[in-house]
Amino acid sequence: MLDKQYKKEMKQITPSQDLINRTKMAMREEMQSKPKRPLFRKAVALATVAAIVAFVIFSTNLLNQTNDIFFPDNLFTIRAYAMEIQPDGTIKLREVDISQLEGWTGHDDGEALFISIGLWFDFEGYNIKTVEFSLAEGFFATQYIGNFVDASELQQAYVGIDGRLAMYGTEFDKVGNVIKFGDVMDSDILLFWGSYGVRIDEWYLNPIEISVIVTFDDGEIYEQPLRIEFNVPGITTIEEWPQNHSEFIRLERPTMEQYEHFATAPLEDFTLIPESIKVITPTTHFEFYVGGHTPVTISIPTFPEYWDASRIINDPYNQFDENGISRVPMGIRDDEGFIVVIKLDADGVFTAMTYVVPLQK
Amino acid sequence: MNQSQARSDWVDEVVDKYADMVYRIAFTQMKNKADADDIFQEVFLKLCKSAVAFETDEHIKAWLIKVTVNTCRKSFTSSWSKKVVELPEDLAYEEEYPDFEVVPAVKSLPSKYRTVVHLFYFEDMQVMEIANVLKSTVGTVKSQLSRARNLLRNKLKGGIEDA
Repeated sequence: MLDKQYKKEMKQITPSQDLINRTKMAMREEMQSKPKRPLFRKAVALATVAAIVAFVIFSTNLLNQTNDIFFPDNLFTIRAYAMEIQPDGTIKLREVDISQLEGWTGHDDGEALFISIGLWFDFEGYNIKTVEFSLAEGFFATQYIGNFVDASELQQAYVGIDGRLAMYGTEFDKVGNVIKFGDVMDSDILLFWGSYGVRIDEWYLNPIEISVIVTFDDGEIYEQPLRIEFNVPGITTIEEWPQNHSEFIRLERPTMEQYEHFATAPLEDFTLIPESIKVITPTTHFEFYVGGHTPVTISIPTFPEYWDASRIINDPYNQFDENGISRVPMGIRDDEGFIVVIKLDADGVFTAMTYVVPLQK
Repeated sequence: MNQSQARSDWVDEVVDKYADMVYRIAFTQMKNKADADDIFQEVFLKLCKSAVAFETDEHIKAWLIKVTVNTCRKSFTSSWSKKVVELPEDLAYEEEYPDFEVVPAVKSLPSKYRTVVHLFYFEDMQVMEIANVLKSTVGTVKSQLSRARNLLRNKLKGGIEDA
């Protein structure tokens, strides 16, 4: 049996005696240095002297100071990081404001819809016992970013202000509507919001409400609501497109130079695919169109207030220029690049279309 | 027995007892033995620094498994932003163990599958125990084991025996 063979082989893998000896030595050194708490001793000595000199005046302050140093108050902070693909293909995490998404991504596998909360969450604080994330609607799905050491295996999309936010794989672990952590968050867990039986073209970018309940060591419970609003365009990959567009085309990521060209060259230099032109309403999604295949859709926000042209143009985080045009570079296939252009007219009508970009030799 | 001697004895006891387990988990996760060596040392140093009061052997074992897996994951994350040059003298384990058949197949699995496969088939842990240690759910562990078996079936004739 191969499981027995696995055990037989694995039993041969052992740490070297040298490694064991070095580790034991390092542990002994660490343990010898551990009990020293000079700061505490100094604080106590200082408090004693101060108490003699002016007990009534200073004792309370010193006590509080000592408490602040050694027994910090319960504290909880949540942080969010965007995953960015760097020009050399590596992935880097950049801290971002949770309330202001720069872009988002999703995956529709035909049975469930997975929406990337776009972010890698982490939390920190003092005296945290457990942290529980819960959803009133949908379920959590997770991925470990440690699995994405090789970024070339990622299902990639290029969203965000500079088109460098990373996408993810298409395998998820579904963990229900509650996910609980101990005093530290798993170092590299990516949270997704999932919903069964909903296709991307039926999902209207409703905000995701997450309740974060923190239990501290002393029993205090703190609740922090998180609201993720999808008020910027996002991209969704589709495993099985429901309208007979089943062939998936993998587009390569543009280089930074190509990206710059896609983003700045006059649109007149590009070739419009006429059949791709489509007016987008709050209830429609734009199919990215490449030669009859549909690898992705682009979704834009549905909030009524977002459909105010002047607001979009004046929003510093929006991706529309002063002429109401937003370009979404999609990628490269062979010697052609593809971008989706969304035009917003003065009446608040969005029209999306695909352009083919000849690549510079 | 003085305090220093007691600490020294504790170090001997805990390392001798769990060295193989920690090292093998690190080995399944990391690309080479040099990285596994680093993880091994880091995990035991974390044990010294930990303020956790371990109640039983099972408690310390579970803690070591969890910390080893997390330390490996953190190592993956940090390696993204740096180019690591492998030293030529760092012999690839494939060369050291040319007869290995199943270990290379397991090591080719995605890391989350490697962890559950190793804990299930080598450490003989139950699905519930694995879920507890990894702060996961029974359903997730079962699903990961199932996917891992399918992948292994494609890589190896016969696959790994179902639980």
